[in-house]
Amino acid sequence: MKKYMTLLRLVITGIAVLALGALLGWYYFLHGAQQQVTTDSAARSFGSGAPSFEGTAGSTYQNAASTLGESVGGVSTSTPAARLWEVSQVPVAGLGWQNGSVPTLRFVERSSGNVLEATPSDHGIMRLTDTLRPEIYAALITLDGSVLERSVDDSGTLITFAGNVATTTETSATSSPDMLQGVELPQGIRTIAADPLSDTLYYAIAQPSGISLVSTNWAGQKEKQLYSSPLTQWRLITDGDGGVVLLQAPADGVEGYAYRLQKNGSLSLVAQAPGLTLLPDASTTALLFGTSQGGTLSLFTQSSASASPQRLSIQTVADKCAWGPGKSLTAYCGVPTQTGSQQFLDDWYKGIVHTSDTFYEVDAQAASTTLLYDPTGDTQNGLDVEDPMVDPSGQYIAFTNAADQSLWILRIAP
Amino acid sequence: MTGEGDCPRYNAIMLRTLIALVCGGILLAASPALAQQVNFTGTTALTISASPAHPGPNSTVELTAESPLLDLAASDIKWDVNGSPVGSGQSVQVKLGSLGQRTDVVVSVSGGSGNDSAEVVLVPTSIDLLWEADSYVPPFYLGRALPGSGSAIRLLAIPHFVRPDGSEVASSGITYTWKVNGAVLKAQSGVGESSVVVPAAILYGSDTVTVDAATTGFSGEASVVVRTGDPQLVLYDDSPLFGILYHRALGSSSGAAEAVTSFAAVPYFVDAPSPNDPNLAYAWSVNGSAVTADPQDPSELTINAQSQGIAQVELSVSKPSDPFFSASGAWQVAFSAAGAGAGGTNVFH
Repeated sequence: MKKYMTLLRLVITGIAVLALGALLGWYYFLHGAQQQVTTDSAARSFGSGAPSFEGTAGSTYQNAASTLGESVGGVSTSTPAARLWEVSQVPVAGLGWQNGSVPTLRFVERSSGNVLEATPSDHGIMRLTDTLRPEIYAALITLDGSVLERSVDDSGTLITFAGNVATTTETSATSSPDMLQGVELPQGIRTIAADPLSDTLYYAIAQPSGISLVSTNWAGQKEKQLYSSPLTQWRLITDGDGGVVLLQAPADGVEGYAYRLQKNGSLSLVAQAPGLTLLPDASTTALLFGTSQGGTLSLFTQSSASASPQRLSIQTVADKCAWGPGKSLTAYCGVPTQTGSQQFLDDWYKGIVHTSDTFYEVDAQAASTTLLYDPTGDTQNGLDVEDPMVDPSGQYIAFTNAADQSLWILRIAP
Repeated sequence: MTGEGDCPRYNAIMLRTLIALVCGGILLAASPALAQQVNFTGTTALTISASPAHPGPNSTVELTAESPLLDLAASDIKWDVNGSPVGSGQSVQVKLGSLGQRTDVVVSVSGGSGNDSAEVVLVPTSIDLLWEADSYVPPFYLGRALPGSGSAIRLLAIPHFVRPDGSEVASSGITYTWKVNGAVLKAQSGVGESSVVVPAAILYGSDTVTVDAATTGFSGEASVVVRTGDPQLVLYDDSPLFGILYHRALGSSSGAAEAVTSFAAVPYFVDAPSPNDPNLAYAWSVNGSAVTADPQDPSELTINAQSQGIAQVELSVSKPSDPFFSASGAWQVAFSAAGAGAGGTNVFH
């Protein structure tokens, strides 16, 4: 009996040892496997937090800046007290001031299509969207924050996207970038403009016999046929009172025409000149228009539709000018110190020549000009002013430098 | 035709006519008072010609009195514009008003050879004659396409025929006559034909295109000289981040930021829908050695620099179907040590 009891004890002990060993082995196996799973998952970024941008401008900017050989470490190197601020060193596709009590500029990164926001009062920059739309060649932003982005697909087709920054981003300066939501407009839009006061887009789209000019809302709906033309090379300029001006694509020394599209579909002549560039005032019927012929630039002002054009003392093109807000008939222009080409307009549009500009204030009523700012002391490189825009409060001018598409803001008051 | 048998009768008629003319002449010469009673009013003895024939708004037009019967040099000629006298003499200059503003002109002639008057109504018109070429320019190019060899020119006439009430005559109701170097384009002229497409002149040549537009009570003319020029080959950096940097053309000496850099050639004003049109032949060379481009994308070239140095890039573009077309360019591109890889005697690949 004792012998059986001893044997039984040994068997039980053996079973216990075996069970314990199995449990230990099982533990070590599972633990190791779990560690492997955790390691693999971590490698795949499972369970990790959403990637955050380094700085408010984001790593995309820094990558692009380093690619261009620019200094990295922040968008702004100047202080808010400085009159001239280089907002973005990397190419910008388009810009637009925003409505609001504080002057705020939004702009689209050319490389990513992301929308960023800059406040000149504190030189702050914030990325608003992280929706990737690469290689944006042109962009437009309206006062209410609507965004147009234009690109080209692999087959050469012109792509136009119309959208808005998601509203959640705008409520908090610390929130992360959001999506750019919108719609693709029809392919093949050759030129497009947005009405500054309404939800209306005007665009010219290619047709077999030329172009058709249509208007839609920002969702691409409510399409209206406004005009058709056998000529295809137009620029559209919204004039601020719900109308649109058609400017024939300029060429140096070649007669150009600009028309206001009437409500009955007819065209009324606005201006006519060789190498014509045009800038109608959104608040009045005043005009600035430039001529370019044989390397000579002239700028004219017309204070009202019935007034005679007055030649200004500065030599520049209307593309380098922007009207101030309201009905003050004040405009600001970048004026090249020299043009350096006998066919300046053509070579400038091709990116063959670039200028170093000084800023002038234009009084269109008096047809007089005043030197506003010479950037020579504040930046080593020349500023070739393009797409200038004055903010709604009239304090700042934003523009891109056509030489590298960098973005700048100039405070108008010294 | 007059036969032999009609001669005596014909001669008799001629004789009577000659006698009458001689007698009339004697009477006119002998009696000036009687001569002044010869009145041509209501005939076409007196006409007014205008130069230019289609005066524009706010322009000055020279009006000239003409007559095959009256001796204008020896006559007293008076001009009235809108009821007010403005001058005398055979010609007078008249300043016109704005587009569509009517100007009534009356000329009165009195003298030994007779009296007459004529009137003309001048309504300034204008025609805008717009043109562009269908040659290639890259997307988002802000300038106009200019004609190159083999391309076509599109023209559009926009007439401004303004009625007294300020309304304009609709373009669809106007008859257009198009001419190239004076030759009428019959097939492309007619009512409502306000646009036309014509081939560009041969290289370095020019064409004068004229349009005449007319409708009841209005007429006008406009012309334009269009010159065919060389295509222009421009080289840009094609960045993987930003796309083709159309805003920054490569000069004759440029730097490359990356060791591997792609370049895009843009043949401005070539007669092709895209730079990669199969009708265009690209011949690239780098440092004197021919480089074969990607057949799918022959307008682009990628250089992989192994070390710092200068690449002499040359390109010529031809069009086998057009012997007049050729474009070429040469660029020196410097690759820096920071961008390029190390080692190797053959710097570029």
